[in-house]
Parts: sequence; structure tokens; C-alpha cells
Amino acid sequence: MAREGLIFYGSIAIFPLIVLLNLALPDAANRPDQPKEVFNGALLLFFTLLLIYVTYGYHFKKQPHVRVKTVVNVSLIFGVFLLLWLVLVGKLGYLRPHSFPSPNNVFQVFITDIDFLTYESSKASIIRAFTGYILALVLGIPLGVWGGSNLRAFSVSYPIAKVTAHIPPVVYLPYAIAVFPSINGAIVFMIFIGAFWPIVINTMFGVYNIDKRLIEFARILGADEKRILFKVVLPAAMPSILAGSLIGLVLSFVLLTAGEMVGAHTGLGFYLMYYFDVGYFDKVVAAILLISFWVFFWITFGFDIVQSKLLRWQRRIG
Amino acid sequence: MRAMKAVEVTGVKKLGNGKVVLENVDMEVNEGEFVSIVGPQACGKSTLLRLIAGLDQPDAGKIKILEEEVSKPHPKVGMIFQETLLFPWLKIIDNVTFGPISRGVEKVEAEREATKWLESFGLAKFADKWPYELSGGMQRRATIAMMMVNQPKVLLCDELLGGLDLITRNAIADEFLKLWHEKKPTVLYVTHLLEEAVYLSQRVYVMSAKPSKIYETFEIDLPEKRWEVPNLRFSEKCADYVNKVREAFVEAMKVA
Repeated sequence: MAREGLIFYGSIAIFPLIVLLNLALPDAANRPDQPKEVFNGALLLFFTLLLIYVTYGYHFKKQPHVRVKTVVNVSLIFGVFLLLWLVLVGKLGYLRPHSFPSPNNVFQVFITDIDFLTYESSKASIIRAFTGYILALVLGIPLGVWGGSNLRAFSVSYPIAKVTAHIPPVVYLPYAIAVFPSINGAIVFMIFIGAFWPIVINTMFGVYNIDKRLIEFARILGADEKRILFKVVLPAAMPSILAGSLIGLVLSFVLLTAGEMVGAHTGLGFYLMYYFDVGYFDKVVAAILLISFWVFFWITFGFDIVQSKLLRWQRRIG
Repeated sequence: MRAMKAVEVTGVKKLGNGKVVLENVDMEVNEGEFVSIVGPQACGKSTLLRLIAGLDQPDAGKIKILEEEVSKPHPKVGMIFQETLLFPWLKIIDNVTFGPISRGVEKVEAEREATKWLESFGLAKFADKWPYELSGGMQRRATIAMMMVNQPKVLLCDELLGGLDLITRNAIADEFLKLWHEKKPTVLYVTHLLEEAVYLSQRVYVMSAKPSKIYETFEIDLPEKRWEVPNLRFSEKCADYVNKVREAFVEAMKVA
């Protein structure tokens, strides 16, 4: 146990190590001198959070080993990547400085562009993504439930949905831009279409495949149709509904950035494309990092939490 | 006083996928009786139970529950399916209150009633657990509580104790007998274990497959409080009955 713990803490110690290295070594001669505070701060923050998580998981939860191990291993891979990036690119000056900015260079952008990138662009993008996604949930789940519980509706709509759903949603964008009064509307529409199909299909499939005996069981116990819908059909189909909702959420971000890169005047995708066009690659990389952060954030702290609440009744494996 | 007929099945025929699943089944069960139905695989035991529950309609013949013809699930009928014992997404207490709340009982009242039932099965401390956290035997007990809280007059059990180990099986069988003795619901009990059928019931129906109908009926004359007689399961009298039922069962299989 003690040795295992030592390995855990040792492997996350890579983050303070990178910070020390960054402070000790000067940046390469071909790099413009950059403040180191932001990159170091981000690493230390991440290190602290990881330490809390590992300590909490390792000592207080019942069976944390697998999960803690996974988190530590994944963090280790990130740590090694950051270390290589910092040392090879930032300190030793390999690769062209123009297209391959150093970590200090990139992280500095979050502060210098705090209004435009970190706040305004994130806000515009997140509002767009969630408008489309929530519309898809609100329309997709009820439609899916209807389609799945009605045999005739199912036999007609499932084959149609299977074909239509596999049309790449980006193909709607040019036409949507032409038809919609605003580019915003066109992007939201595309996100909606993209997220709608996986949600509808998975909901439909989940509802259709419910063990019919559960419904009969409820009927014998005296439940009416409304109670059967909310207490039997929806919970029974919930794993499937959530699977579709996750695909929808991920697709929303894919389509969001694609749409913004093509036509928007705000948002992370626009920011990324704009600075690509004028050749500021530190800002491009910063935008990529920020987009990944938001995707990770909404899946881990939004979706996963909702999912584990809704599926508490399932036996957890591992 | 004339005993009320709890279940009356007359000339019932049922087709499924173009084949005859049940043919000309007649059965009469008085109120408060405990009867078992045994028969070879695919002889239509479960189909018959589903018809009585009102989940399916017969293609010919009549089914009456408490002297009313059934066309949909009768409010006084409870049914236990082997495969779906509990709703996995409801905690044990919510499973047990599912029926009463569905029937318009106030939540507080339903929970009070449900707790009483859980206590009588020794499940009070599991009220706040998810079904997967309970052992197979505990799940059966919870299911029985879930049905009994609705105060059924007729209880249909399809392989209630299937998939349990023998010791748990016998223990729950005795608990179930005591419960039946106390509340006197009419029980129709489908099983493939002849010993269990004989030990539990007052009458055993042996069904044959192809044509699926009642092949033979046995009246079982054992003391009503069977759990009070030591080793009744292994007594000669019990064994005699089991042998007779077994002979009929083998004959019924030959018919097929």
C-alpha cells in the first residue's frame, strides 16, 4: 500500500517538476522572452486539484484504486507531453518558433486576450452550442419516446431516421447560411440537426427495446399510462437516451467550431480561424486548448454528473 | 355458505403464431385455495397465467375472476413474473409503494403500509437500497411484499422461486405458506418442481403439451399448517403424492 501510494504521488509530481524546470532554465535564444507565470500557475493549479483528488480517492473512498490509477496515468501522459513541449520547443528551441510556439507563449495568450478569447469568445460559443443542443434534447427525447412506443411510428420512422441521420450535418451549413437571416441562426440550426439525430435514434431504440414485461408488471400493479411513461418507460430507456445525448453533446462542439470557422464573427472557432489567417499561431494553439478544455469541462462536470445521478440504480463495474 | 369462485376458466383456447397454444382448458379455483400448475416445458402454463391476469385475451372460452369476466388486468389480481421481479431504478421502498400510489393511495400512507410489509419480511433495513444490492432471496421477498401491499384476492406466481438455491427456496416457500394462511388470497402457482407443488398446494394441476390442456388433477390432503409438521417435505405421504404427480407428468409428456 505504502509503495503504491508513493508511486501515485511520485507520478503526479511531474507537474511541480516542470514548473521548477521552467523557472530554472532560460527560454531559447530564438524565442521572444515571455512571462512564465500563467503556464506555471496553470500547472500548479492542476497539480493541486489532482493531489486533492488522489488523496481523497485513495484514502477515503471504498474502492478508488482503479479510478485513481486511471486519472494518474492519464495525467502522467499529459505531464510528459508538456515536459517535452517545454524542453524541446521552449528551452532548446527546436522547430520553427513561428509555427510552434512555446508553452509559456501560448498560455500567456489567455491573459493578454482575456476579454476577447477567454471571456467573449467562450461565451458566444457556449451559448450557441447549448442553444442547439438543448433544442435537440427538448424535441428529440419526446419524439423518440413517441416513435419508440408506437409500433407503426417506429417501423416507418426508424429506417428513415437511420438514413437521414447519417448525412453529415455540415452539408446543411452553406444552405442554412443562405436561408437563415443570421449566421448565428444557421450555426445553431446545424448544431440542432447534428445533435437531434443521435438523440432521437437512441431514444427511439431504447424505448422500443424495453422489456415489455416491465410495462405489464406496472399495469398489473395498477399504474395508468402516464405513470408507466414516467416511472417505467423513461427510466428503462434512460441508459440509451443518455448514450445518444452524449454523442449529441460531442457532435454539438464539433459542429460549433466547424460552423464558426466558416462564417461567424464571434466565438472560439472564429477566433481560431482569424488568427490563423493573420498567422498568430500562439493564439491558434491557445484557442485549440480552450476548446478542448470546454469540451472536457461540459462532459465531465455537466454530462457525467447528470448521468451518474440518473443511473444510480445500475450496478457499477470497476 | 357457497364458496365464491375466485378463478373460473371454461373452454379456453389460445392461438399463438398460428399454432394452438392452449386448447379447451377448464379450471375452477375457490376463494382462498392454493393450487399449483405443473407441466412440461412449453405446455402453456405461463400463457394460461397471462390470460388469467388479463394481459392477453383468449381466442375462445371464458375467464372469470371473482365472478367477473376479465378483459384487462383485474384490480384484485396480483402477478409475479420470474424475470422481472422489481423495477431496478426504484429503491426497495419505492418498489413496494408503486402499486398503492398507482391506485391513488397517499404517499405517506403507502409508505407506512409498505414499511409494515417490509418489516414482516425482515427487509426493513433494505428499504433504502437499490434492487441490485439485494440477494436473490431478498428480491423475491420484496416482490411478494410489493404484490401483497395491494391486497390482492388472487395471486398469480410464475416460477416465484426459480433460480434460488434449495435452502433459500424452502425457507421462502414456508414464509409464503404462512402468509397465505394468514391472508388467504387465492394462489395460482406455476412451477416445474413437483415437490414444491405438492408441498405448497391443496390441488395440483398437471398440464400436457400438444394439445396443451389440463391432463390430470390431484387433491393434496396434507395439514394446512405444513411448516409446523417437522420434515413434512420428506414424509412418506408427501413422497406418495409426488410420485403420483410424477407418473401423471411423465404420461403427459408422452401425449406430446
